[in-house]
Amino acid sequence: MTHTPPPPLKALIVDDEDLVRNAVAMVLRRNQFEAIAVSSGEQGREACRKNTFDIILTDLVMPQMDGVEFIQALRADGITTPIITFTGGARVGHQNLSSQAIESGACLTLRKPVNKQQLLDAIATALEISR
Amino acid sequence: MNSTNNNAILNKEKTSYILDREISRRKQIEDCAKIAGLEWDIETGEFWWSQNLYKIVNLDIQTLPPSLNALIGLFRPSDQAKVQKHFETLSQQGGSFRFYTHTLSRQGQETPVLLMAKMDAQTHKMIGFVQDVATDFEERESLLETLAKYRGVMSGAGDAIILLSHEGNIIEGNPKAAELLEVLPDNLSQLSVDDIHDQQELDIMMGYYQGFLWGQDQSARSTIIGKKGKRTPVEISGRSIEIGSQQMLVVIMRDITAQQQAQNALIRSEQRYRSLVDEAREGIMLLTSDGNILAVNPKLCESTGLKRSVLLQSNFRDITDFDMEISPTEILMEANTRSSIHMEGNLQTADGRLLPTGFNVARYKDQGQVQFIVTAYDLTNVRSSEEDRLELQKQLFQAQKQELLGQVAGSLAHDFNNLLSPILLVSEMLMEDAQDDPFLHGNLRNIHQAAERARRLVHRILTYTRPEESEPTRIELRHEMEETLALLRSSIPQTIKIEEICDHESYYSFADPDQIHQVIMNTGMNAAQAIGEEKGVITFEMRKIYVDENSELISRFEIPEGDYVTLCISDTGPGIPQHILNEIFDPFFTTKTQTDGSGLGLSVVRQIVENHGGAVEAIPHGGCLYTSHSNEPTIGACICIYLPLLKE
Repeated sequence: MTHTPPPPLKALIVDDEDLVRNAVAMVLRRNQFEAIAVSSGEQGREACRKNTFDIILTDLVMPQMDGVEFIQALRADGITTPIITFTGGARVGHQNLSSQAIESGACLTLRKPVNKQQLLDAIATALEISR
Repeated sequence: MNSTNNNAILNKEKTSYILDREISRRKQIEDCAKIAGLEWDIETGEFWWSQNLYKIVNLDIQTLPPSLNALIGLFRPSDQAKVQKHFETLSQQGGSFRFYTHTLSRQGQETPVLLMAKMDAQTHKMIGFVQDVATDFEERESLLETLAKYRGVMSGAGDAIILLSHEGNIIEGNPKAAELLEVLPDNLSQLSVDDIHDQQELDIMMGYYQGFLWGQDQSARSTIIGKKGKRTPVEISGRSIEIGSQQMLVVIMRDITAQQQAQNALIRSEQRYRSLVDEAREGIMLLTSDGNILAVNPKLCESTGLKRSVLLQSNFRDITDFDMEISPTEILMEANTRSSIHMEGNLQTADGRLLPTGFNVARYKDQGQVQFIVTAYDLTNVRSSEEDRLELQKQLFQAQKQELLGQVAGSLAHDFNNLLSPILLVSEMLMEDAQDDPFLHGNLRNIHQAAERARRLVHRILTYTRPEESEPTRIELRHEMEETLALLRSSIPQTIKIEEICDHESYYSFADPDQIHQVIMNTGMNAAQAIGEEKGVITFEMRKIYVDENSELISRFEIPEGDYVTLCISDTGPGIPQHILNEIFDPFFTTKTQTDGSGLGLSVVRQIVENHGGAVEAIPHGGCLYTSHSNEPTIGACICIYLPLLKE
């Protein structure tokens, strides 16, 4: 796509499900991303303080700090990195999380399960929008 | 000859003998009856009386020759004028008279007599008799004495009491009787039973009076008619009594006006209650304690389709049904322990149907006997509305169940999707690694395909439970538009034509196909509604534009520069007035009446488009830069949608 090899894009993956977290991280690393995967919003917030990411992917339904709270915390911290959320779908009490996430500043919402193409397309779109 | 003479002598003797015997007999009879014959030839004035008269009036035969004046002189002075008047009337007018009087002897002894005389029209002679009625008179005197004894009792009685001779003449009566018959008490004796009854009732009443004489004590109801016409309902009872040697009748007439009024009032009251029962919309029956039907109202006959006579032969259990839970007999037993109970069941009809019915069973005591009053009211409508209610409840329950299922499915789907993510991602990765090993690659593809299938399955469940959730993916917009327009065509009037303008390129975008459908559909419907029932055209024009950094779209919509697809939907409707251009995408903004739409269509369009990183605007006539026919005079409004395209 590009004539000079671009610096690898840094992605943060936040998901309490280690299977998902690791698989997403693995796919991104395969596709020239530098990926850091953490299992909670708190850890994600901490990671953002230490690193600068090009893209953040976060689960919405998580114990303690959920995805929306995580986004709000990041935006409160002044971090403007484009955020893609993904969620496994509807859980009681979490119906509005996707729209809340958009309202709080997420670029896109994805629904699990995602395949590789969806993931990469979403990242491309999110980067495009936030550019 | 001799013999003839002898015979003549014999005959003469014989005739004389017979005559003597006749005279002797007559004298004996006259003596026995204490009666004396009278004869008066009015033309000659010759007067005759029989010898017995002297005996009756206690006179010597020779002292008084017969004559009318002599006869009159025999009576007591106070009656003489009356006697003379009777004879005068008789001689002038004929007919007859009877007169009770007294003779007065020279010794000053009075003897009660009956003087009777009659005019013989043929001979023009008056014949008559004077009879010593001292014996009768004594009886009458003793009668009057007896009456006097009773009179006190009679006068105080509340009922009218009369004493009747066996011929039916009133002899005596109490003040109450006089009041009833509207005569002075002294004049009661001028009346007979003929005078006090209605002519039509007379025969019947005579039968009763005869019955009283014979000792029957059955009372009769009749109407007594007073001398002035007053009618009084009475109950009449009578008893035969013997006074002296005469059989008489004491008749008691009880005024039943008040009683009859009370009875009439009772009848009216009963009629009122009967009409209450008869006109009732509920079936009503009266039962014995065993459930035998004693009385029913017409409604019950109508409901059951059974005749009254049939119902009156039936038992409560024959015509009711209580769904096995309780038998009719048990219901009555239950009702007997309380004052009333209420049960729902069925009424059995003649044609075998079961009529849903509510029963009120009330215990009631009639002269110590337990009876039941049962009111049966139709529950058909009540039950069907009850069934409606149950049906609604069922639907609500079903909806709640579905909601719960949806929640369970949603929560399961969430876990499933989490599990499927690594399977899909890792299998894809491994497939890339195993491209040189067809066997391994094939197996990995099977895993991936199964996971994909599972993903679609979960998606279907979620679409069902949460239809509003968006799932963006890589879609081809022109293809989606064509699909939607096919649907739109069938949703708008045939007078509206849909035109499609595009350059047959493929425009890929990252978007939720369902939501893109909704955007096109809503905008299309809005255009169709603007056209209304007129003939019209809606044009969908799609083209690719590049929004560079100087584009006014960037400042206007705060969208990034890049490739966009524009979808312009224009219609031949009246257009959008300038002053509402900025309002048409607001939620609940509508120019339509309340029934036409929700006012949400275009606001949803904007929401979706903006969620996809795009923009939407309404452009007045001729203002659209991206439609080839914007300046055509027929064009009204144009809605322009900008959607970011995926980078190739």
